Amino acid sequence: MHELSIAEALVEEALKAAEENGLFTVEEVEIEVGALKLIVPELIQDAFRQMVAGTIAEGAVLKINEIPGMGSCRNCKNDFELKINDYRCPICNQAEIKVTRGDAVYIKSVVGQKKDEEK
Amino acid sequence: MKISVVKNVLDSNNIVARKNREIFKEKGLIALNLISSPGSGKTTLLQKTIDRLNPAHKSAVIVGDLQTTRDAERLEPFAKEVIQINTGMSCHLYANQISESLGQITLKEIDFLFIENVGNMVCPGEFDLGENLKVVLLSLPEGDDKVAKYPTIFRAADIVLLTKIDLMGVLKFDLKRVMADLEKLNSSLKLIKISSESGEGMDEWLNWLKAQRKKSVGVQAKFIPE
Ligand SMILES: Nc1nc2c(ncn2[C@@H]2O[C@H](COP(=O)(O)OP(=O)(O)O)[C@@H](O)[C@H]2O)c(=O)[nH]1
Ligand SMILES: [Mg+2]
Ligand SMILES: [Zn+2]
Repeated sequence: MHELSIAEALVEEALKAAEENGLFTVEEVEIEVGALKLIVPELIQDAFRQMVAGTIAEGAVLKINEIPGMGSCRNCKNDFELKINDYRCPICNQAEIKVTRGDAVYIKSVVGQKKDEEK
Repeated sequence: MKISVVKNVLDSNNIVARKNREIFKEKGLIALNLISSPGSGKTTLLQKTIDRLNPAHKSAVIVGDLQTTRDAERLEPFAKEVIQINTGMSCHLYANQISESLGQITLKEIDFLFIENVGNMVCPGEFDLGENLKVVLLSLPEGDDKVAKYPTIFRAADIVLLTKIDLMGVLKFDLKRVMADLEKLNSSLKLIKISSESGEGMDEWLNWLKAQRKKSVGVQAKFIPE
């Protein structure tokens, strides 16, 4: 369900980036999705399609790259991949961690046509 | 053409949230974001909590609901200031809704700002409001499997309140299971078993609140009467 909230923010940022760079169409938006966000790709695709309708990004392709969730143990500094329901360090068996990666959705790139640019 | 962006999609919200946090620090108050499913007892707990913080500590509440001003009406007799935000279709509050509300509160007179988020265990966890601490409520009737089902919000929590603990004898609720699931997400997480009905856990919660306020406000603290 939170895919809708995230897609809304994503489309807003993508359109802002397009505008700042003088794009008048957006054909593709590439994002990096952290596993800890628990995002269902099909749901965010659907939400994205709805949100771009009627904008310069209508019909744009959403390219999703998933990255794992990573944590660093505060006790032993071990870096390890986090399971969704279990953040315990495999060495200390304690969940005292700092999430280092995979806890956000980033826009990586926006592809579109610039004014005065040949396709 | 391809433009490299590399931007967190929640950037615009997070920037406003950071500004809110600076305002809280400057005004010497602590802001708590209360997150839970609808009906787990946020408003009732706030009524009791603010009543007990009075008159030594002044509280303000910003409460988000899709519709109605009912929660604001319930809180008005207790809090110094109450602001209701109707979010319409949105299932969570945004940082800019908080920053707009702050303009309507005499912040320098407030010690505790409670933000009752829209009842929802998912989206409110995504949107930083600038709060100092996230308080996550889980009520007994919701069941003992919810930590495992909604791990994101529980790992973001600074404290978990197990509410309606007075129903322990009535419901099948495996407390050990909840503790074990929380332990896997954050081994040092603070948990309080609490009831607005029987008053169990209220002292512990109030002491925790007062201690957090001293800690978070630090040297800029106003005189805090006990
Ligand atoms: N048994 C019991 N019921 C409670 C308690 N706290 C709240 N309730 C009831 O739970 C319902 C929802 O409470 P409310 O505070 O409106 O929840 P909110 O939606 O999270 O703000 C109301 O009928 C309350 O009377 C409690 O500690 N024990
Ligand atoms: Mg309420
Ligand atoms: Zn370790």
